[in-house]
Amino acid sequence: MKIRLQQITFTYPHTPYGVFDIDLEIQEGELLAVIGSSGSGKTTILKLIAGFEHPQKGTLLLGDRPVQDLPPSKRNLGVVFQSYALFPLMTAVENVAYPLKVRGVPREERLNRALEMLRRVGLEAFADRYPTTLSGGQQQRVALARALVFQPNALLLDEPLSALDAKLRIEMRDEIRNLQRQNGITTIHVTHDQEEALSIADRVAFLKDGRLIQVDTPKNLYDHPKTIEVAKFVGRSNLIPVRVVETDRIETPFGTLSCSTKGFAPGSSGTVLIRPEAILLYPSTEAAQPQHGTTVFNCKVIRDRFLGPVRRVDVEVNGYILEVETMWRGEIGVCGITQDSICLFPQTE
Amino acid sequence: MILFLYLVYLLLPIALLFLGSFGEKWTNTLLPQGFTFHWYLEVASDPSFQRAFFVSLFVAVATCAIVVLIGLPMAYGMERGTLKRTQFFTRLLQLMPIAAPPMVVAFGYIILFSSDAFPYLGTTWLLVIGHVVSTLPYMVQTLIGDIRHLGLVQLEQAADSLGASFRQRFLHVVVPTLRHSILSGLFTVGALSIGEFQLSNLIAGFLNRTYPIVLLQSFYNASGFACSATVVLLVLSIVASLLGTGAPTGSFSERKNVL
Repeated sequence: MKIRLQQITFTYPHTPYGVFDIDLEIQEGELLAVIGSSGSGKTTILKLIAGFEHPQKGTLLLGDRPVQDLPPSKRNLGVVFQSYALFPLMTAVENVAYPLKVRGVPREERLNRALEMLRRVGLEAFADRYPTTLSGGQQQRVALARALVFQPNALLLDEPLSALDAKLRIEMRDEIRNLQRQNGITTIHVTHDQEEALSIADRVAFLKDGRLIQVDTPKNLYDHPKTIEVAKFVGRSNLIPVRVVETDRIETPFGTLSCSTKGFAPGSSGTVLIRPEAILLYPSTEAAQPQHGTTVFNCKVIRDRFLGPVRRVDVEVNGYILEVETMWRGEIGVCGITQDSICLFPQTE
Repeated sequence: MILFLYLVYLLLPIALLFLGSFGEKWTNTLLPQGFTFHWYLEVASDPSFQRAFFVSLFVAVATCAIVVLIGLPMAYGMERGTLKRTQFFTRLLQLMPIAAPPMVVAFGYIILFSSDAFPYLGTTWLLVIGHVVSTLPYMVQTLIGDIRHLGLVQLEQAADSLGASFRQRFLHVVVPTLRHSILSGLFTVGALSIGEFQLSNLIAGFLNRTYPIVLLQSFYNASGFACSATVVLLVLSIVASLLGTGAPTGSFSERKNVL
């Protein structure tokens, strides 16, 4: 079901913290990831949608129905908590059957449906186990099954993977995505892990200090961040103070670069973002053969970290240090920056 | 070593009481002489002790019942309430038994309830209310600790999001999850109520004196009688407190038919 937040404002009592003027629309069947550093208000948005908090201002629509004043139990939303919040005195299957129980589904039927749901998350063999005897990943699956079994209007996930170890986290990511696709269910996934967000979301919403900064596809968010904060939060970045010398020409601490300066007057200053993997590395100037729009500099390797698939290198260019990520395993003597890989932001700090 | 000495110091009087209750004669000797059960029989057949025993039992049970009925919603509400107020009340509850000792409460009762407007001094129910007031903080503290420890607020939010009504959440989630804490709090309250002296001594009427008060009188009589009467009280409160500490909180090994 479609979810719409219109001008939602909420502050925690006696504090200046909360979320402000949130306008957000999540389409039917879409997976929207909400990211931001801790305290940015991402969990608050989830609580408001779930109904654990009520906005002081604004409208929250589930489908076409305003629900901002309804209690959680009347919203029919599946919520998965960071701590899973499985009922400790119920077995896995009883946990999953619980939402059906409170809806008055007869015992036989609800147990069957719960078992079927457990089968879909690969846990039918653990149906009679108590949560404390299950591993973190298994508890997570039970929590997901419980949130999906009653065919909720939408699925709300609050940092569901943060308690799992790195490998399992990546596995569960795909599993969540698959379940979400199979059920065609509108999903909001709150996470502080930008990689997790980029990898599974249809769109990503970035929050800072309780305000929505950018809502975009993962690709746009990464390639065309709206502000420096977004650039900093999503992926790695070189952020370099610059001055616009003339149209399409900027001056950096290590030399001048070509880049589009649309919207910037000559003489104004700003910050450019260059992604580490966008910087090209070559052994020598002869090997570089730069294309049009690529500026080439001599460079020296300061630090070289081998990470397996890629190499993360700090190179010094005329006294300035740039972070570069490359698959190139050979010698490094020259680096190239193409104008398409540069994003220019107005000066903020 | 220090622990050992402390235990000796703690247990020796109790052991002597125990010995004394079975001794036939105990005058001017370190240990009593002879062996008999007749002190116990005498205590059991003493009408004022019989009455006091049942008064104490009634007061303890009534106190337990009321403490649960008030304490559970109170603890639950305090944990769900806004932060500032909760902290204030929690602190108040912690301080209450220390800042307002039973004697102070009792004097207040004497002044208030001996007036013509509230002529309830000396009634059993006033006794029960006094016990409720002085034992409630223990129950609430126990419950609040476990509500936090077991993450009950989030469990309840989960149940809420899954469609459970307030009543369903309370019966399916809150009560089962807290059943060990309720039990352990109850035994503590029971033990405290049975052994309570200060307050009861001041506000109990002649016909509803509790066991500890009648017990004090008996020390003016034969020592064997007093000892055995004390042992009865001791056994009662030890059983209650052992049950209290023995009730494992937060253990989910037992299966509860909640489905």
